[in-house]
Amino acid sequence: MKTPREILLKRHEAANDKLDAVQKNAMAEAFPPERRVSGHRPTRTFDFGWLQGLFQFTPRTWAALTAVWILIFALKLSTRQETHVVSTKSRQSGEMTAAVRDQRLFYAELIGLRQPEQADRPKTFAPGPRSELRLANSLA
Amino acid sequence: MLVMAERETLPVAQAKVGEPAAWDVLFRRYRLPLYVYVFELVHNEQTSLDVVQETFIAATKHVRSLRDEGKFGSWLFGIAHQKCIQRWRSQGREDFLREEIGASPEEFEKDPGEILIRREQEESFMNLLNQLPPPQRAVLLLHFIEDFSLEEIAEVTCVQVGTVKSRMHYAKKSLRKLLKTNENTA
Repeated sequence: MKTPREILLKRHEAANDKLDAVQKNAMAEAFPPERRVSGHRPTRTFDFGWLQGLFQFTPRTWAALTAVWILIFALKLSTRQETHVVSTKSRQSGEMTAAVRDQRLFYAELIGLRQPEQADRPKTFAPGPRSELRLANSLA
Repeated sequence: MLVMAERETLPVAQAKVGEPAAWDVLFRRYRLPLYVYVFELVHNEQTSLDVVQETFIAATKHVRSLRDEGKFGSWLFGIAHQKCIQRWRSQGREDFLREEIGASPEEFEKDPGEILIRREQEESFMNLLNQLPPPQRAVLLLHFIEDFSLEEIAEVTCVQVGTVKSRMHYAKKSLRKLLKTNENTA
């Protein structure tokens, strides 16, 4: 008498030859010959299996995260460049304004429109005593 | 002939880190039982060989997802079972997945022990197995081939334990009826 297991396995024993080929194919797929010969453990290129174990992320998730980080860096770089351009431009415009002003003053002096000493002297307004102000206001 | 120990030690931990020698041991241990299981479901030699190969390749790629190394066998059979279902669906054989199960018996009969089959009953046993609906056949095969527990069979076939109990009950009932009939006629 036999158990059902014995009957089933015995019935299909002849498939062992073909299963040898199946095993060979599966091993070749999982462990290509060049990796086995070198003796080191088979690793797939871009194998993030250990990362998966650590963070339980799929490769797709990692790719998405990487893309997000690249975008963040790109945005940061572009804003830094803009700031640099803006500060450079503002510096340049300030310098240009001063240069234009100096040039006007120079031309003005040339054609005699202003006296350089007077122009350079800042106009100051010294308020008078209160009584004089009241008189000035009442007359106005 | 394969002999199943109560708790066999298989090199699953080594297989997880990619040791080819460990996979060689695991392939040799499971390749025939897996083939028998698949063949008795799909009844096609080439398809069965393809499914076994695909199952092992998938196992080498995804073994790191296996939490409990002691459940390597049921995990492997679960992959094979899903591949069989995919084959049936692609062939439009969704009726294979359906079964008519009567109301669950309140009390399933206690398992009187191992079923032993006489030589002259072997053909009848195989005929009966082939006549069972695939869901019941799958449960019985997993029980006979690898002696999986009800919980493991439920995981392999992705159904609840109660459903496995019900299927097992009806399948074994049919089998015992057949064996008794043969005894009486013999």
